[in-house]
Amino acid sequence: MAATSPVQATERTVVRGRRQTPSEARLPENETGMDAQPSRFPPGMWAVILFISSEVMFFSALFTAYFYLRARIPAWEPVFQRCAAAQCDKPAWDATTNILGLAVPLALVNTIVLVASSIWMQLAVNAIKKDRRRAAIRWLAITVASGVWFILGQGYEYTHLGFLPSNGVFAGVFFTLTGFHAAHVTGGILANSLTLFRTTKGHFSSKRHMLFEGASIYWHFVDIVWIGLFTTIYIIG
Amino acid sequence: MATLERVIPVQRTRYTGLLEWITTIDHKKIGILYLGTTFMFFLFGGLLALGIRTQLATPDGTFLTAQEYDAAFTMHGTTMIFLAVVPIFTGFANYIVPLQLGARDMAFPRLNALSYWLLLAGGIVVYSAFIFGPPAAGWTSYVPLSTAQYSPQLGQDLWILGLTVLGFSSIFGALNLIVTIFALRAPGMTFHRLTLFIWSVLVTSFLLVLAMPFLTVAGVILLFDRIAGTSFFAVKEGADPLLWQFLFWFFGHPEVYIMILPGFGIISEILPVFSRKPIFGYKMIAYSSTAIGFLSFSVFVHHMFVAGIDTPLQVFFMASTMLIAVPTGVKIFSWLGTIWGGSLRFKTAMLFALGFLATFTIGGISGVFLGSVPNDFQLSDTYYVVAHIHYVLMGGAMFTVFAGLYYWLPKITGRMLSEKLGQLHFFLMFIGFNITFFPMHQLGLEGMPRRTYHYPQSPEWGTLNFIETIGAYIMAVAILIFLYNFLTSIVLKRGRVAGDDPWEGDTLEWATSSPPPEYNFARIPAVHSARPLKEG
Repeated sequence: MAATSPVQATERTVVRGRRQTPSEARLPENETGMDAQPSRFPPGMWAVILFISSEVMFFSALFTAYFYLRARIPAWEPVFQRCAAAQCDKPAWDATTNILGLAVPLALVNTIVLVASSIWMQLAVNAIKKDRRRAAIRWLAITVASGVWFILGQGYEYTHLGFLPSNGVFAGVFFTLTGFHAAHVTGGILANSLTLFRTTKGHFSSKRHMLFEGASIYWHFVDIVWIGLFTTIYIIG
Repeated sequence: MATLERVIPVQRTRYTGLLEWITTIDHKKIGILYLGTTFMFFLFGGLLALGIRTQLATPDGTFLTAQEYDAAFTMHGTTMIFLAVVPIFTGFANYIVPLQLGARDMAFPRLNALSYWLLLAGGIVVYSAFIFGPPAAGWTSYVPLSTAQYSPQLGQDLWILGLTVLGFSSIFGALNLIVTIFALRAPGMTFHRLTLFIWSVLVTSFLLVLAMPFLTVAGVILLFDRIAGTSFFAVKEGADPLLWQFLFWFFGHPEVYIMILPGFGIISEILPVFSRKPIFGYKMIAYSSTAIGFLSFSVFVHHMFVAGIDTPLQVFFMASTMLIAVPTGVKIFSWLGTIWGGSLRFKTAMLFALGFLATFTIGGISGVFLGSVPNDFQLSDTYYVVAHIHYVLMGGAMFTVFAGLYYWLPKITGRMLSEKLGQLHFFLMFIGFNITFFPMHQLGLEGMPRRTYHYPQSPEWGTLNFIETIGAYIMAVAILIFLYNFLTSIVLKRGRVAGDDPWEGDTLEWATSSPPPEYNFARIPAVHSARPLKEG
């Protein structure tokens, strides 16, 4: 809306599409020339912050379930640690990969790929903030590819673990937690792909990049959750 | 300066009739959809309650079988909590918050429509359980009662799915309200100039955004246990069913305040208007809402005292539970201070507000009493708990809903409800309510367990239960009177035309027409106080 002038008396309000005119006799004057009280963030950014707050609580609940059961079950047997100690009769340690002659669990490779992708994502955001579109597209494409790698890697791991969600408490917890995380990564990949598509179409600039930044915050969030999950499931057990 | 012509862009209505309502993204139409849908669910829940009371009129009632009775109280609780009280306040917030903010709509109108349609979808999923074998594990669905072993019916799965959908509806709705309040306030409307209704909606919305995910997770892992063979709650695998109670009540106790805080807000709007005085202790009411919001996350274990909780934990949660009485008491005394020395007008909205003060105070005090561990040991799962929850939810939340309806329906529809019928509604409701629920305190103290469809042949229990059933039917008559009032005054347009400001209110919603045009205000106002229409 145009800035209001001090000469309010000569002003006419034309309302398109409706004949009914609202009563405004008691409506306080607006001498400020503003439409709204200034806000710290634009609405879209508030939405991202609140949505992620809600997601944080979602994963908090899942972690609560994990640690509650871990504390309450005396014979808690995390498969990975048990198998790492070579007491495993199941082929649970199949999901390893050979790097420089070392058997490295695939989950660790996945973790590195995902954590690194947060850096690529941030580089993409920094690039679009400086209007360097080509760089933004490049970094974003690498981020999307990293996400896809992670999902494929996790799919591979799921099929080579040798246990199913129904094989005991730990198995159920493992698949539920990592599965929900994978669903969120997939959501992030979709958001990043949309952002990538729109960037190639010439959208976003140093002035307008709300969705871009929102997608990056979400991606960082998904990443941080994975660091927590990896530490909890694969290291602490 | 030359004549300045401003054109207000109005979203052209592309459809008319039913399609217009289906495609609408106008916060007022969505608010009306919310209010209508949730009131319908309130009536369904009320019918279930009548079924329960009919069954309990005599010690060996034959109106319902045991299975039907379990289904009835499960669906009654689920309906009233998830489909009536919580979303009916979202409906009020949808309609009123943008108007009180001096905004043209919500921050995300399409997300707003999505929230509503998810609510309807969730409601349909929950109610479709009646076709597939309704859930019968109570609205809390405690494990192991709700596991596949003891609740094999599909209705239990539908209950979980429906609540998950409703959770998304609530989270999106709450997120939208928070952003609206943060980003779309009229110029000059600082946080200390928000109406107290908006303050309470803001706190409630934060609780929804932060607490709802715990219900979603609890439901989803229960669903996985039921259909995917995981073992979150499987005792034979060594897992612990108490996990359900922890997750559920971490959501469930904030939920209690989600159901009452908006009501506090409505009362804080109505009391000053009908006392012809400014609200007493504006900041104290606003801050105490915030304090209740924080504290609500730290009291939830008081629902589980008899479930085998360590003593230090019990003591902590007993103390924090009693602490929450402090901000609540601050509110009660602020409201009394508002009425004090005022020039009161006993319109129906005011009567419901005053009725709320009385009944809610009783419910609040019995809550403190229940929060004490030794009392709780004695009273858990007795009718005392039923009395308490109905004094805070029915006498508390629903009275504020009716107060809000009598207060804002003239704004929403442009017609006044009949005062005569309204007063009749209030008095029947108030009397019926107390007849129904006050004797439950006595039954609870005497140890009558809740959730049983028969009870021992005892002259006193039989008499008290029979009296309660009479009270329930009196309330049903009161609701019928309200519906008749609505039909004649508003649907048949026999009510007086409301005008812009029938109650001499001084918040922004009263500065526009009744009903307001699609764009709410001819121009965006600027405000300089919490009572913008009293500035002149």
